[in-house]
Amino acid sequence: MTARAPARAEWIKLWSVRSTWWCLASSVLLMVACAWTLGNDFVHDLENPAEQAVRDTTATTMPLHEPLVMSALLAQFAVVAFAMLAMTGEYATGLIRSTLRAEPSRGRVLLAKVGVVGAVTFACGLLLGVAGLGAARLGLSDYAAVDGGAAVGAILRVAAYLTLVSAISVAMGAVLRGGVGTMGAVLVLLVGPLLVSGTLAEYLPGSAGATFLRDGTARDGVVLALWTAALLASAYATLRRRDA
Amino acid sequence: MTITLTGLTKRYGPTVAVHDISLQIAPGKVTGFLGPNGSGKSTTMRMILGLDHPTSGTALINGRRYADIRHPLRTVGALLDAKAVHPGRTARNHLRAMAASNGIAERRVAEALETVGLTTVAGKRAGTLSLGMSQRLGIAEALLGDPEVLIFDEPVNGLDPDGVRWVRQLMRSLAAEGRTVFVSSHLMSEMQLTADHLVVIGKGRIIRDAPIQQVIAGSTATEIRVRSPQAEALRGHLAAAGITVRQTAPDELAVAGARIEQIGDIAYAAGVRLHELSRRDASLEEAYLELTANDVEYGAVR
Repeated sequence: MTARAPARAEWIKLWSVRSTWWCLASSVLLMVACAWTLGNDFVHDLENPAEQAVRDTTATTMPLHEPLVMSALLAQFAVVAFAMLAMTGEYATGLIRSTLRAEPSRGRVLLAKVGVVGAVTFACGLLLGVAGLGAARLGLSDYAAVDGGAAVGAILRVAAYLTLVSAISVAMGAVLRGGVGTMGAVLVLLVGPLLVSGTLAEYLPGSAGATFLRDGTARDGVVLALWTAALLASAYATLRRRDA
Repeated sequence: MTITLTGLTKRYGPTVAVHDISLQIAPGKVTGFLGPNGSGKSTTMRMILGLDHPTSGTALINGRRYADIRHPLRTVGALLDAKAVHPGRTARNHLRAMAASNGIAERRVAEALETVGLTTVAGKRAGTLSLGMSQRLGIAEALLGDPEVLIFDEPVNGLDPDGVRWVRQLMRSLAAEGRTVFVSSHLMSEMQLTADHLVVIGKGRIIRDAPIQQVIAGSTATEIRVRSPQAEALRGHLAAAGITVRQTAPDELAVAGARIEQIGDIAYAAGVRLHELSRRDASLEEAYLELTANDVEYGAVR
């Protein structure tokens, strides 16, 4: 199965529209702003006697990578938009017909899209992780607890989590075609479960993903990966069945 | 390369969009595809291109399904919808992506842009192009892979008279190079100048599949005009020979469904003087309207 030529086409398509640049720039901005704010808040509460009552921790330092979790959950909105547009943009313009004429194999089209979007997201995720750590370091100033190994792990988890999120977004875009519906459905999957507690939450993509981001537990990573695989399978089935 | 449709059928629930179409579209000719709105032209084209799945039947290009052709843009070029480009992407980048998807050399992008006359606006975002320029961009995309088969759905939409003539010459020259050119259009006068062969479709069924001269000659609007001071007498002689005649003036008759020689011979044998004996060909528009009179899906009351 060779998806090399369609992947090259997807690469050109991705970088020749402005939305890609806007979305990726937004993700960096959200990550940096959130990580800095979380660090800065911690320091503010620690240094202000008046705030001691509302502190939920007695720690006097914060691990540098801790703000990454919340920040990545915020920055993912820009990543969802970026990944989704690679698919929904084609349906909105009718370009999908040209794409499928150029590569009639629906499997290869999906593979090329998920592959290119996923690779770009993974690279962007590494950048986000590093930028988030830098921003957290600035926000925490002297109160950062630096652990190199833990920091590297956190960066890799951010990149891996966002890559799976990008694949979910592409798949959902292929099934639903419309941008608004896709964004809504992906948010239901990724944010909705954060409000759920109990055993059920362990099996939902959003909550399992957030736990994976925080703790790096393999089990939660596998749950999110299985959801991704299921959505990709349904995207493939839909693309094959549906008239373009 | 020949396009072969066999029993091609497309149903949407109870609605039959295309009904059991069998057809051969030959190389070296421009084959015009005519039919009222909603008659199944675009659906047929989409099935040939592997975009829509036939309910039954097959559409083959030189014996192969579209989906089985490797790098299909090098074999089949198509223009379906000129506006089907991302409005934020430049014309050049759109073509670069399409070329890359089929391993087509990058230089073909510049060549195709040159052919359609879009070189100067290649760096402009597609959303800013006029309909006519978008149409040209779509044609450039179709030509990108130097394909043997070309399929165009309404290619002259939005083009100015210069553009229309340019498309006509392009189609003629593509066919002259031995390529298979299959083109749909609503512009009958344009088709009359462009097509060698016609396929007329109505309500998803083929009404006529014949060379364009035959379609026009077969129309009752193709008439022979006879002027004679003895028109009354001639009328009787023609009627006796079983020919339908219409008197259009005291000294003028209109005859349909007979050969001009036949009428001349009858007049000579009867000793009737003739002042004019001439043929008036139907226009393609007249022939077409006659063929599709009963098949207009959304017709106005006439």
